[in-house]
Amino acid sequence: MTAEQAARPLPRPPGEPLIELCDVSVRYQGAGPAALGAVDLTVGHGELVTLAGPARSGKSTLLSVVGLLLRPTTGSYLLNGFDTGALRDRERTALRGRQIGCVFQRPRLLPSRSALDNVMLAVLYAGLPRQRQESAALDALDRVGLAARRNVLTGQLSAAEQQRVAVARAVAGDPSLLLCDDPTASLDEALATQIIGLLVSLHREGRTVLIVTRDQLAAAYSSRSLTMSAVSSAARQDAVQ
Amino acid sequence: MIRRRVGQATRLRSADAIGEAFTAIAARPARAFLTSLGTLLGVAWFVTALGLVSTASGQVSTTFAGRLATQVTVRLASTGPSPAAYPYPADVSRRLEALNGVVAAGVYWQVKLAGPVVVPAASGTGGQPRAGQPRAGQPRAGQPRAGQPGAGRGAAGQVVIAASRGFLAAAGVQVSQGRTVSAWAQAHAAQVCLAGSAAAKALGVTDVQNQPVILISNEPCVVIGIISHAARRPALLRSVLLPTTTAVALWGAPDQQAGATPTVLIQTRPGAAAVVGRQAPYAISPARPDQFSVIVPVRSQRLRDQVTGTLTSLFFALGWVSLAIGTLSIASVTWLSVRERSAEYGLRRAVGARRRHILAHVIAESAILGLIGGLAGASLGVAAVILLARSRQWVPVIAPLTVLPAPLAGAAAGVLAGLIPGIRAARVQPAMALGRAPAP
Repeated sequence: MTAEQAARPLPRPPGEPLIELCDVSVRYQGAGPAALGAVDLTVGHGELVTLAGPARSGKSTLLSVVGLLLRPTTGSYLLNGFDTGALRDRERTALRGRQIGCVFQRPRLLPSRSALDNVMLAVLYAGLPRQRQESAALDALDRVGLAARRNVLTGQLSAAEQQRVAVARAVAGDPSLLLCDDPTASLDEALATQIIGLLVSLHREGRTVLIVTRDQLAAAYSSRSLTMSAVSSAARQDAVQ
Repeated sequence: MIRRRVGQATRLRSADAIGEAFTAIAARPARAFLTSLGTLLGVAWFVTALGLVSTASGQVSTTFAGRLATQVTVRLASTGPSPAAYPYPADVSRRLEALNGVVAAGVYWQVKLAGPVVVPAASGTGGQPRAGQPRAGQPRAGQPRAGQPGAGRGAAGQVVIAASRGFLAAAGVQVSQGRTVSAWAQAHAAQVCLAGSAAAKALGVTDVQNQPVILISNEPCVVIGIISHAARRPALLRSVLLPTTTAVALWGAPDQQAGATPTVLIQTRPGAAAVVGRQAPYAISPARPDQFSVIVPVRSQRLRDQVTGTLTSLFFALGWVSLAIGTLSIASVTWLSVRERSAEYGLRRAVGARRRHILAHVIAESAILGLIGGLAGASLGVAAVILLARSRQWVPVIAPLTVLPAPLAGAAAGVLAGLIPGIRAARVQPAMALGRAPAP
C-alpha cells in the first residue's frame, strides 16, 4: 500500500456519516465542570460544516475530540464507522497523521524553524523520502501564497503569515478530514477570504471540512451551519442561564 | 483487522530523526555546548588518563629494562639426568654471542680451594707487606714455600672465581689499573689474575705495574689488573678472578669439585632476555638442551603490568566518575528541555508522531550531544597527552583502542542520558499541542 492509498481510505459516497459523536463530554479535571457537555453531532462524507458559538462553549474541545487529540470522558465517537475509543494509540496516531489535518486556534508553530520545516512536520511521519516531503510542503505553502517565504523562521513572520503557515501544515499531508479552529481570526478580510477560498476548494476536492468560525463567507459556502447550542446540551443550558 | 482498515501506521525515517535532532541542536548552539561540556570533560579525562598511563609505562619499561631484564644465567639443572662431566663446549661464548640479541656471554664458577689467597711472605716485611712493594721477578720466579699458608697476610673472604673473557664482558668488568685478561692468556692458561678493588685493598695490592704475585692455594698468580667496576656483578669487587683455563689446569675441571657450579652469564640487549633465555640451551648443547636451567631475572613486562595496573584502575575509576557526571549533566539539561518543549512534542503527536518517535527524537538529540562531547573530549585528551609528554620529554604513547571508542562512549552516555527524559516526553498527550492536558 502506498502512502497515497493510505491517505485516502474513506471512499464512501457523500452523505454517509464520517463523524458520529454520541453524548460526548469532556472533563479536564476528574470532578471539575464539563469543558464539553453531551454533544451529539453527525457529519457526513464530503460535507463542509461550520460551527459557531460563544466563548468557552467547548468548540475547541469538540474539535480536539474529533481530531483524536483528546479521548472523550464519556460518550462514543465513531469515525468512518470505527469506534475510536477502542482504537490503540498507534491506530489513533495513524489516523491523526494520515487522515486528519488540524488548524489550531493559534498557529502553534516551532518559532526557531523555517516555514518549510514547520509545514514538513505534517509529512515527516509519513516516512516519505526527503524530496517528496519537501515537494509536498512546498505545494502546501504555495497554496497559501507563502512559497517565497519558505526559508524564513516562523518566529519572524507576521501573525497572519503564521496562521497561513499553520493552514499549509494542515493541508500538506493531504488529509481527508480537515478541522479548523477559527482559522481567520487573526487575518484581515482579504487574507481571510483567501483562506476561506482555499478551504472551500479543498472541500470541493472531496474532503470533509469542519470549521469553527463566525465568518459569514464560510457559512455561505457550507453545507450546514451549526451552533454549539444546537449540538451540546451543556451549551444549551449555558444559553438558557 | 481494524488496524489494517484504519490505515498504515505512521513512520519516522532514521535519517529524518537524526536530521531533526541536528536542526534542534543547531538552533541553540550555546545550550548544546554547555550540555555536552560534561561529557566532553569526562571523555577528555578518560583519554588523557589512559594516554598518560601508556606513556608513563613506556618510560617505566625502558627504565627497568636497562637494569634488570638484560641478564640471563644458565646453569646445570639440579635435578634430572646426571649431567655431563663439563657441559659447556670450549667455544660456548662464541656460540652464544652468535645469537641475535646477545651482547656478551661466558662461563664462570667459584673455585673451591683448600688454601687461602695470600701475598707471599717473602715479599712482605714481618707480616706487613707494603702495597706495591717493588719486587722483581717473573710470575714463576718466586715460588712460594708450600705449607705456609699463614705466612703471608691472610685475607679472609676473598672468593676465587674462574672467569672466561666472555663472562668479564657480560658482567661489565672494568679494569682501572693494568690490563684485563688477554685472549692469549686465556688460551694458554697463563697464571694471571684480576683482583677486585676491595680484594686488592685487603691483600695490600695497589699497584700492578711491577706484577705483584699472590698465592692462590699455594699457586702463584700475577695480578695483572685491578677491577674498579663490575656494573652487573658488584660482588666481583671482593673477588680474585683468573681465567677458566688456568683454573682447570691448576685444580681440574669444576665438576670434579664438590659445590662448584659452572654457570654461563649472558648479557643481552634490552628486551631480548626472554628470547635469548629460550634459545641459549640449544646454542650451548643442541644434543642435550634439557640439562640446563635458565634464569631470566626480572620480567620487566610483569613489573610494568603491576605498576600500570594500579595506575590504570585509579584513572579508570576517576574516568567513570567524570563520565557519569557528564551523563547526568546531559540528562538534567534534557529533562528541563523536555519540560520546555512539551508543546512541541504534543504538536508532533498531533501531526502523527507515535510515542516511540518522540522517544527517538529525544534520544537522538542527547546521543548527538554526547557524540559531539566525546569527539571534542577525545581530541582534547590526545592534545593534553601530547603536551604533557612533551613537557616531560617523554614519547607520547596513545593506544588507538583507547581513543577511537571514546566518541562512542560519549554517544552511549548521551543515549543513557536521553532515556528517562525521552520516556517522559513520549508521555506528552497530543492535546498538549493546544497547551492543555487532559484529565490524568
